Amino acid sequence: MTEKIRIEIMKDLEVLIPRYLDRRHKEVEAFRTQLDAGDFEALRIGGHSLKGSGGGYGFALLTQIGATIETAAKAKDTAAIETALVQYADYIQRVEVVYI
Amino acid sequence: MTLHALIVDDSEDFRLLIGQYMTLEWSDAEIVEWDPVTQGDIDDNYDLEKFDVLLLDYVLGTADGLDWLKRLKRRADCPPIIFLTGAGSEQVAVQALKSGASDYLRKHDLSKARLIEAVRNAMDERKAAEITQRMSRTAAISDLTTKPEVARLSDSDAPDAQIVEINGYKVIRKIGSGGMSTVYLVERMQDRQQVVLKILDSKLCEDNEFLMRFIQEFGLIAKIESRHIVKIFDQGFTDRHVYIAMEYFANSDLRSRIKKGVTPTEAMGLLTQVALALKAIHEFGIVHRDLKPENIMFRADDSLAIVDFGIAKMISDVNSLTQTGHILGTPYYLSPEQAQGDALDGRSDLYSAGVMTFEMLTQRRPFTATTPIALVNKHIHEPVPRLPAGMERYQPLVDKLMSKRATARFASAQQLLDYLAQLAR
Repeated sequence: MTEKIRIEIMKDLEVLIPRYLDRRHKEVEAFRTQLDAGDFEALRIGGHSLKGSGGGYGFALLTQIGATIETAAKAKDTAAIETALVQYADYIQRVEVVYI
Repeated sequence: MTLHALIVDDSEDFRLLIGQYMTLEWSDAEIVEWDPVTQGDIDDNYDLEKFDVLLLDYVLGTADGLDWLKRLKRRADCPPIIFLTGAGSEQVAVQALKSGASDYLRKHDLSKARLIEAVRNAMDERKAAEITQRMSRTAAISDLTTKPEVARLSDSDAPDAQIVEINGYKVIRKIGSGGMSTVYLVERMQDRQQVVLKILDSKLCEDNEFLMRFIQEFGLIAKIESRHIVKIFDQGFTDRHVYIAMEYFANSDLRSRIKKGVTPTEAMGLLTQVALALKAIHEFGIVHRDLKPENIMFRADDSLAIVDFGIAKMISDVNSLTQTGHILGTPYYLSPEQAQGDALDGRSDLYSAGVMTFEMLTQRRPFTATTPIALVNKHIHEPVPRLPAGMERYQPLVDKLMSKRATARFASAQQLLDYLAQLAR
């Protein structure tokens, strides 16, 4: 069984988190589609957006992943984006939120 | 006060996050989200005046947030802007501040507390700007026409009752007036409680930065719950004046108490109360800056409270600069670092408390001189005078409080309290 990544988040955000994570699941697929289509501009904007929101919601790793995607998209570095997307999908799969 | 905020960010998730934090703090907040990718630019005809604050992201899809910032800040109706930056974007933050942003927030480690603090500051800035504008307009009108109500407000010989009736207070008598303010004993009409109303001169209200500091500092003091701090009931604004409603003290001040004579034991008791007051304000990051016997008042139950915070010093600073070019008054209680214009922290107030302690014990000031400059030099260079025979046990206390170097004093008011507790054993 895959080990969960436990993240503690303020109860204030409980109303937003399920939707936020749901959108992240969908975003991984959207990023993959954009990568397949070679749409680096969409990946840059999406990566930037993820970089901005992740840490604010309490998911610091998402900010890092978003920054990697944004930078790699600017450089059209397909391999780096693929690696980041694997990490992104793995994290979203394993993350478990505990409200405090 | 209802918050009206405009959030401009291409990330819906981030707009929702900020909106959630603001709604938790202001349940009736009116928040408008703007997605620059789907909605495009903010049109010049779009009304920005209705917003207290605008939060603006630094990358707006393909557009540059800094360009938006510069363009928006050129508009007269633009509210304070808080710029949202990403990790490692310190240079962008600096550019944003130079371009007119009031503050910046790093998105990746945004917290509710930091957001609320920034928004509150922006609201204060907006309020101060509005007051300045309103007062400038009123002043312009009264330059052209005779406006009896306004004339009475600024005329010290006018019947007092005319002055503050409009604000829900009824004047009982004028207590006094200083360079830039007039103080009245008034009755609050809603509950008939006697309070003190301090009305600041309209000249101060033309200074936007002063007004911001005034609103922030008195807002902070009003939150401090200590019986040794004057209670601030309200701060408000008329068309031309800014006023503060605060607790009325029926008994005299520490100056009168010293004149009558204070025993060493009483002096230590009074110093303990002063230390408790300083502990309370220092914990909020406030330095009094003008601690002296005249600013320590007694209630009917003989408890004391400190009054006239830094705002008093701010007023006298403005006054001295605009009127005489010199420090007003005689600086008997000035700390060496204050005299030299250095940065101040709570230890500056402890020095002033040391001067008052010396005075309570001896009924004379430790340093006197014929000119303010000579007096300031004594604070900076002259050793602390010796207490009279029989008071030797208090000398180490006075020496420590009045050390020339702040680092040699008690590190905090709490340390002073600990020392006083030991001394009492």
